[in-house]
Order: sequence, then C-alpha cells, then structure tokens
Amino acid sequence: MKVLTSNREKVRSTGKVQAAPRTNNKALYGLTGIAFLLLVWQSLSMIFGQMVVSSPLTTLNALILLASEKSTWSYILITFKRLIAGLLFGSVIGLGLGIASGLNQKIKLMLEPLRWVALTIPAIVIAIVAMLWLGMGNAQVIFVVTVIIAPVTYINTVEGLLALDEKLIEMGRAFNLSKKMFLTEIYLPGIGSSVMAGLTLTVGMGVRVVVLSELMGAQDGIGSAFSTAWTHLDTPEIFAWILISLTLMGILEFGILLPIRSRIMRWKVQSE
Amino acid sequence: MIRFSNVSKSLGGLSVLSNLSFEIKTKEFITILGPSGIGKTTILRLITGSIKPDSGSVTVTESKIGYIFQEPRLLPWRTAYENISLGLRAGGMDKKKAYNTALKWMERLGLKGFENYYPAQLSGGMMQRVSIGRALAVEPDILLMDEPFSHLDMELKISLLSMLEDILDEYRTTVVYVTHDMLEALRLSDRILKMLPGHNMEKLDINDREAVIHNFISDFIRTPAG
Ligand SMILES: Nc1ncnc2c1ncn2[C@@H]1O[C@H](COP(=O)(O)OP(=O)(O)OP(=O)(O)O)[C@@H](O)[C@H]1O
Ligand SMILES: [Mg+2]
Repeated sequence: MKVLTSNREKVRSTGKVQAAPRTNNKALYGLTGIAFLLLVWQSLSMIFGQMVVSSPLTTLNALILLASEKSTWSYILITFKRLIAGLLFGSVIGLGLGIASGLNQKIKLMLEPLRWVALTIPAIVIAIVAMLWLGMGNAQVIFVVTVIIAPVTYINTVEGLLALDEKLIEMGRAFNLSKKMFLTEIYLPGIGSSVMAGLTLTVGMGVRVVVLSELMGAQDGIGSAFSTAWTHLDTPEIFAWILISLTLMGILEFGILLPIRSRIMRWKVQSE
Repeated sequence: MIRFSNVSKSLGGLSVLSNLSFEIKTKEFITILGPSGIGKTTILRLITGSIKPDSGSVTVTESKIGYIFQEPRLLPWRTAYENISLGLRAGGMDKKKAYNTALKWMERLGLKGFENYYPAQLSGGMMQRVSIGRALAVEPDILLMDEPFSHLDMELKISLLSMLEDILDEYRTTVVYVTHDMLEALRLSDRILKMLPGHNMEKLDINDREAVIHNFISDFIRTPAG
C-alpha cells in the first residue's frame, strides 16, 4: 500500500470552538451592562418611590423571604415543568410539521393558513380560549405554550430546509442513503442551526407566555404568585418574582440551550 | 454496463446534450473529455439518475455507484472519517465496521491524524481526498470522477493520480473519468469520449495510436487559432 503525505497542506484551524482570550473581555462588558441596569433600577425606585418600583435592596429582602417559603420552590418547579412540557410539545410539533412542509410543497400550502392563524392570534386570546376549553391548571398552560412555540419552530424548520444545499441531497441520492439516513445525516443536522436559533427565541417567549397563562388560569406557579402579590399590592414581592422569572429564563438559555447548541454546532468552526 | 441511446437533455432552456449515444462496458476506464460547459457533469448526473433525459434512454446495469464530485461535497457537520463511512453505512454495513474501514482509507489517502476533523478544518486538497475516500470505500461497481484533481496543486495531483492507478490495479471497476486535460485522459483510460461543440462526440480508442496521436496534435495546433 502506498501512503500519501503532503507537507504543503496546512490545517486552517484547531478544534476549539471559542476563542479563549476574549472570554474575559466579554464577561466584563456583560457585567457593565448589568451594573448599568441596576443603576437605572435604583434611580427609578428613588424617583417614583418604593410603592411603584421597589429598590434592588428591598427586592433582595423580599427574595430572601420568598426563598424561605416552601411554596415558592414548588411554584418555581411547577412553572418550570409546564414550560419544559410546552417547549417540548411545541418544538416537536413544529419540527415534525416543518420537516413535512419542507419536503412536500402540498403539505406546506395546506399548513400555511394554520401557521398564519397561530402566529397572528395574541397570546392572551389563546390563553382565554384555552381556559374555556381546558379549565384551569396544567393542561391550559401547557397548551398555550405549545401553540405559541410550535409555529415559530415550524418556520425555522422550513427555512432551514429551504436553505439546505441541493448538492448535498444529490450526493445523498448518489450514495443511496436510506430515508432514515437522509433524516439523520442531512436534514436534521442541516436545519440544526436555524432551529436552535429559533429555540433560543422561543424560550424567552415561552417564559412570558407561561407566566401570562398562569396569571390568568392557574392556582399555582409563578404566574399565580404574581397575581397574589398584585392583589396584596406587594411591590417588592412582584419585583422578586420578576427576578425569579429572569433566573429561570437564564438557566434555560445558558444552562441548557447554549450547551446543546454548541454541542450541535461544533462543526461550525470559527475560521481564525 | 452504461448505455446512452439518443439522449437529449436541456437544462434551464439550454440544450446541453442532443441525440447522444455511447456505451461503456463493464470494467472499462472511460474518460470524458471536453471544454467547460459542454455537458460532462450532466452526463454523470444522468448516469446516477439524479436527472432524467428529456428523450432517449440511459441504461445502467450496476447499482453501486461511487461518485467523486467536482467539488468535495462533504457533510459539514460530520467529521472526516464519518464522511468517508457514509456510503458504507448506506450500504448496510454496521457503524463500527464502517468506521474501521473509513480509518483505513484515511491512512491510505494520507489523512492519518485528521480523522476527527470537520471539513471546515481541512484544506481544500484534504477535503477532496476525503471525497475520494468516500467514493472508493464503497467498492463501487461504477466509479464516477468529475475532475477530481482540478483544484489541487501539481504535486498532489500527480501523487493522487498514481495512487488511483494503484488502487484500480488492485480493484478493477468501471470508471467514468471527467477531465479537460488530454494528458490525464491518455494516461488513464481505455477509451476517450471527446465532447465537441455543436453536440458532437468523438470516440477514441487508446489502442488506435494513430488516431490518438493525430487527435492530440491537432488539439495543440487548433488551440492558438481559437
Ligand atoms: N441546473 C442547471 N440549470 C440550468 N443550466 C444548467 C444547470 N446545470 C448545468 N447547466 C448548464 O448546462 C451546461 C453543461 O453543464 P455541465 O455542468 O454539464 O458542464 P461541464 O462540461 O461539466 O463543465 P465544467 O467543465 O465547467 O464542469 C452548461 O452550459 C450549464 O450552464
Ligand atoms: Mg462539470
């Protein structure tokens, strides 16, 4: 056997996905942004008073108080579970229908009106209708999140498929890939980046929607906590729950989605 | 065996092939020669069935095809060895065995150490070698090669050519090789199908020395005059 080598070739890049030295700088800019927000928050509370905007410190106190209550944690968990369930259902439905539409023009045309309706109806209306149909609680909240998430994932999936290189598909045919291999080797990885980008967006939407629909149609969860705090006019507690919602979103985005994303997008190597 | 009978094909309103007929026997090495845009790639695409003729018929009796495209066409989200094993796995080989076979090909193609690199991390020549490995690994009944070395530097081109010759000595198969380089064509093939402007095709047998030499020389004489 003959083995070939050529010393002329250079490898363009190493396997590292992120450039290391810049990370510190990035964190610095991020922290500056947070400091700025805190400053604005403090000023607003000084201008309008604690009843309207509770200060960061008061909020922190309320937060510590909340943390000592068992119901707080169970509410967070309930909301988290609903959110995950809704995101999962919505993504799976959006992905499935999106792949079907991307591969079949007729299905796409048939789904177009549904997509339009789902995207156009305001979340609050969906929440009201869901309450009418499903009553209060889990089913209602999960339904609303699903209905909001699915069309967004759907659109990203269809677009991802449209952007897929025809030549790769021709390659797959020439090498006799099965339907299953087309899916796992070409379609799914090919739409990965646009679906993941969509998912980051939908998580933010999901948190908002889950809180909204809980506020209207649930006796537990973060949304209902907002409603209780609101009836008591407990401003610090409202602000504490806002912080909790943000944290939840942060965990989802940076703790779950980002790692998945960089795992999936490993192949997109930075070119320096 | 590959047979084109009176094949015509238009692409985007342009008549690319018209009334084309030829036959390629099993285990024959055929070179398709011709200037850019004349329809060489179109012939290969007709052989794989990825496009259908407008009229006439294309008959291909073998089913296992290895295709080295004009550009590497690798899956960007799969590593080098995963790309090479793609056709093997499509042919039903289990993952582990396919990967092992792919690793052997990597070594043979001088890509040892780059198994886990993604295409974006490889140089153009390395990507093309992965693409060559992917096509050869399936041990195809028909090997289609579309100017596989045209983007590579001379040194690499020569070494890959001689490697290809070695492999084909060991493992004889039907080859359709596309190039516009007459020297490559003469070196490798049993027969040359030379595509000419105006939907013409000249068929040259490499053993018919006189015709080959005549053709070769007239090519050089004609070129400067345009
Ligand atoms: N999808 C397409 N739509 C429209 N026209 C096409 C398409 N594919 C190829 N053509 C045209 O068909 C002609 C033949 O193309 P082909 O790719 O077969 O040429 P080629 O001989 O392989 O050229 P090259 O040596 O440059 O690769 C060209 O004029 C090209 O513009
Ligand atoms: Mg071509």
